[in-house]
Amino acid sequence: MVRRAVAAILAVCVVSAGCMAAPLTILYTNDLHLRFGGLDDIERLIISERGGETPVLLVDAGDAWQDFRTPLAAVWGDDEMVAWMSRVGYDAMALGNHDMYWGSKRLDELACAADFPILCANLRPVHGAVPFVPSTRLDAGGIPVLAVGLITEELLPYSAFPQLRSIEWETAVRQEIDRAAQPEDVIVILAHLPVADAIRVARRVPEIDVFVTGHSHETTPEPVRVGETLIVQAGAFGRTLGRLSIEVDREAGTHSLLGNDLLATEKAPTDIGRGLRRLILVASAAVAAALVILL
Amino acid sequence: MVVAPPGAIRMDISWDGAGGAVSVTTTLMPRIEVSVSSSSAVRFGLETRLVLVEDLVPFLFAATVGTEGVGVIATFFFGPVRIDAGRTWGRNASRWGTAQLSARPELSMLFGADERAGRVEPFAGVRIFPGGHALWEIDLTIGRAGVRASISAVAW
Repeated sequence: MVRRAVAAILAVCVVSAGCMAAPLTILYTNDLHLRFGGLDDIERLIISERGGETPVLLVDAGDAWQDFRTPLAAVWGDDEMVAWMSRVGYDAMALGNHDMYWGSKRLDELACAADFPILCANLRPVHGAVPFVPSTRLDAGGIPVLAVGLITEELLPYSAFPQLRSIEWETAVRQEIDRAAQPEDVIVILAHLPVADAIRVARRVPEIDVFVTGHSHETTPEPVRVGETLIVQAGAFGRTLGRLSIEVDREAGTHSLLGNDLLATEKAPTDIGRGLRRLILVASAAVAAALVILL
Repeated sequence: MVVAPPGAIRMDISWDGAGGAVSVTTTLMPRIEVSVSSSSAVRFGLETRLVLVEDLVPFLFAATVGTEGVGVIATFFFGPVRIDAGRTWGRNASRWGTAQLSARPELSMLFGADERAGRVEPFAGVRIFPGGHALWEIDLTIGRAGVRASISAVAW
């Protein structure tokens, strides 16, 4: 009799635990750097993933809007990239160092144009408002997510942002979790940081469930595990779209890895003529200024 | 290019072999700055800076009009690297150029040259941000003319 009762209780526990476990797909990009060639394919993959029953979160780990290696796109492509990211429905994006390179005013304009929040928790304004927030709460098909942004300290245009003070990554994440996280939240860090730095943070903040990283242009065919934290990165330039599948047990506050894929994209030709007029304008103005100063 | 963020007042105090100088700069309108200065050489200086081109990021261009003459300033920035160059016509005619590399929150490196009366003075230095932000900074440069030190602060 007792054995039957125990079995029945165990069965109820298993069934209820099963009900609380829910799959979640996190689609991720990083370091797109204005490479428009792969975007059509990424968009196709995103639409395909959203067509399924599993809730999908779409995030980016920074450096989407700028790159000096593509001078033609660098002077015209940022608006277009923000419009594309808004159109395909990104849920959040981490601020990358390149995203700040056009200065404070331009960052304000781009952030206003974006339909998704820009996240950065480790740069704090000493004075005034900034066009990014430390974290945001998202709902992925009923699964609550707290997304927190981090940015590298390397190669930031500090003098263009005198009102910003940088704080330690671990401190920033800890403060955001303490301030904004609910017990049932999946904690996702969108970090414009190399995997090695993410490992360091994950060791000190074990509550983190997923770390989507960037900046170093690394690929993680298998997520790097630090305790229960999964760390991923999808290379660069839109060559792949990352797809991390996890099962979230909200009651137990745990997750399990179902799979991680880097979906290869095909590069389509970019219409380089679109930015030519602006590039010529910028180059002409710079040459004219140089002549006035030098001659 | 715009040394004081909108609504802010910036103060610079500097010393070099020729003596001390102090200047106060504020933004009157989004494209217009006014700077008042005093130094051992020039007791009173007033300069207005008008940003003429700001929509061609990463290139900016400004004109200056002041008691010491008229001038132009061009800025080209590549994120952590920023290049400024300028020229002044008038009593203290000069040409100058600087390149600044911001590698860390606390430190930038500065390289440049200043040309007056046909004499070119190269210099190099560091820009230190003790607070980890640029609300106040200490500049130390060394050139043929000697060491120059300055402290700058921005306040609202």
